[in-house]
Amino acid sequence: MAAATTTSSATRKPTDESWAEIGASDGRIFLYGPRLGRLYLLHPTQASDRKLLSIIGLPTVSRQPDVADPIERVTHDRASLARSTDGRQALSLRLAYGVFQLTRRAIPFGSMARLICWVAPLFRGRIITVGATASDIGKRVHAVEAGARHPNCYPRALLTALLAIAAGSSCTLLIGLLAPTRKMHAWCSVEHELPYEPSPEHYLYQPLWALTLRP
Amino acid sequence: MSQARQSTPSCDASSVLDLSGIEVGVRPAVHFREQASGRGVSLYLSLYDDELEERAEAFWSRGTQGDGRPPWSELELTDALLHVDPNGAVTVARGAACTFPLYYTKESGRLRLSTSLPVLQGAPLSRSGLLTAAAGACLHSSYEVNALTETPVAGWRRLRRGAVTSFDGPALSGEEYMRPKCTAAVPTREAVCREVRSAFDAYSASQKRTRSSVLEASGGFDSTLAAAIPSRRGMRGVSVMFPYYEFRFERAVQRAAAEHLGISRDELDGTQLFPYSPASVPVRFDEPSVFVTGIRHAEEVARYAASSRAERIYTGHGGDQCFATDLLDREPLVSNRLESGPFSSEAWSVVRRAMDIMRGSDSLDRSLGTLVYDARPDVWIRETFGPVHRTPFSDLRVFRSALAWSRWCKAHQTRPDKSILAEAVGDLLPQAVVARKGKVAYDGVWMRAYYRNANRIASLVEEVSSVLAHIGVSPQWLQQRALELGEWRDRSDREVLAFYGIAFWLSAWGITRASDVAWKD
Repeated sequence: MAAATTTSSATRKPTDESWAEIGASDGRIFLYGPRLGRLYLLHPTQASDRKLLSIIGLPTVSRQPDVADPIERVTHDRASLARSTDGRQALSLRLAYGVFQLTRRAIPFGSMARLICWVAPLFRGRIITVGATASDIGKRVHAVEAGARHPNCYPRALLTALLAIAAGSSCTLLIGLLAPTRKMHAWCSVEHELPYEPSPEHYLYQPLWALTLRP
Repeated sequence: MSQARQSTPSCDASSVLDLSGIEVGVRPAVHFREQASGRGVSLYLSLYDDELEERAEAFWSRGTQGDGRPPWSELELTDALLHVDPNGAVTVARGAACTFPLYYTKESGRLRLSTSLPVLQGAPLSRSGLLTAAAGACLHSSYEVNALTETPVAGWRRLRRGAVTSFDGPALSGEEYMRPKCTAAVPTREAVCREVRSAFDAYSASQKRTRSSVLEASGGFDSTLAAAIPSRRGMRGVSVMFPYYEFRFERAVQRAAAEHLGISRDELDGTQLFPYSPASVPVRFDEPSVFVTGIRHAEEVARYAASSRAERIYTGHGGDQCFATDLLDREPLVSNRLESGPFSSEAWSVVRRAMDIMRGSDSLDRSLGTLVYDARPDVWIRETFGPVHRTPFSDLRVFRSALAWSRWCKAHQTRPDKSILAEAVGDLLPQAVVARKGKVAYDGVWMRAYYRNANRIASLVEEVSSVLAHIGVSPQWLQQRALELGEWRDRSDREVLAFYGIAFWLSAWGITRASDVAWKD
């Protein structure tokens, strides 16, 4: 099952969103609200309140019983690229990574994802070749992270999405939760592959929210 | 001419030995072999009865070092050796992963050694000993604290693991860590591979006498390698399963591992074995330990093994510490700082002093092997249920091969991982295990455990509240914190973990009021 809702080509939008709730073992429910980029632990009555859901950015039309993780393989991890000699990456990519990192408390993840979808076509053919594969994207992300001071999943997922759209590929951004802890994880699927994750861990996190971006 | 005596395999009561005038108490789980020669008298101690003779002979056959002393660095990590020379000087070497406790005291001007701590046998308890145990648990999790030797029983000290301790009469005269010998040159990857292979072959050969066993099959490299022994006839696998998202791939890998090994596999319901679940039998450890949070799990696996008439419970414990950790580095202490909230100012100063000592201690040097294997439950399981825990990763040869791997990785600026195991002993591992996803995080299980057991933790603290107050710890603070953790508030559980270990120990020994026992300080 794909992570995002599917639509016919006639009605296809540039982004598709899906979300699901996760039970917390104590009767309450976890939800991820993309409008403010927050995790919520709600009582069942609150979790089914349409008005509240709308406020936190969860349209009921996108609700799914589960959001499946589309990843079938991790293309590269830290070990597989340990001897990579890609060297320094373009300043624009390092800047983008830094901006994603710096603005994470100011701009919610969903808004930043939509912004990426809007600006990435402007970089087509500049930051990565059109038609680049998940492997190419993974190597770029790894090289950028090698010079990052505090690499983490949040800017990594967004940078992966930026490169995927610039390369002309669709991608799906996911937010997952290791319930019932508050530990969250972000990752980006490109053609069912996760281009780069230093030590694969996305499979531990149950997806709460997914957004498919198309070039 | 040498003479020898040894414990009998059926031994089920503690023995008190006279080793050239030194009294040595040996608990039922521990087996021994004694040798007397012109160089003095030695006592080799091990939990592994069927390996004892080979191990002792191998050690003694190495003769002495240039200075005439036994070759301490050749001592198996899980064992201990006591030596009394012709002049009456006593030396005790305790392996870095020693599977049984070892204590000493001065009594009537003489040295006394024992593999058990005489709790409630006349000696008063020590407030600072209990607080030190709590500090150790706070910083060190479940490992027996090695930086400090104080125990909860006044006057009794613990012998450090991975160290040789010398006595001049009853007084301690010196302590020296047993540093493993390494070749000067960094080995090649091929040489590391050969060393790993040879170490696992030696482990496999050492298990040739095992007739029936249980494998705690997690589906990982380590437990699968633990089961790579000559005869698996009579071996059964047991896995603990959780019905949670993050565990969804585990069953298939465990099943594949069991099929590869040709053994049957049963499952235990992990939701019934949550951390902090109570044991159904009395549990009296010599000293407080955080390990008791997992006692129900250990108990159920041991009970399963006992019902299978297993002699051994094979596990892969220590595999991560050996092969996926840089053994040339120092062990970091836990990151979430201990809060002063539950302590009186006097108690807090004792705890802070203990923590300062631990932070600067040589025992955090991973190359000593003192952080490879947490053996806290082994004696209890042996004495309560019968089977003996066994892992290959506490074998000296396996540990040395892991050290060689860390040296190779450091020279090549890469982090140690288990790729060396896939390369060296990959034929012993099924593809499903080699290609498995990484470790499953237990954070979610712990959260659920707090939700279910918070009230139980608070009740246990209440039961021993008089003693906690006596040593300068606020039971109310701990109860409040336990309840907050049960409500999943964002709080550190460090203090609750540590004092659950203390409270459990006090309750197990029936010390529920400060007036139940005499206190030294």
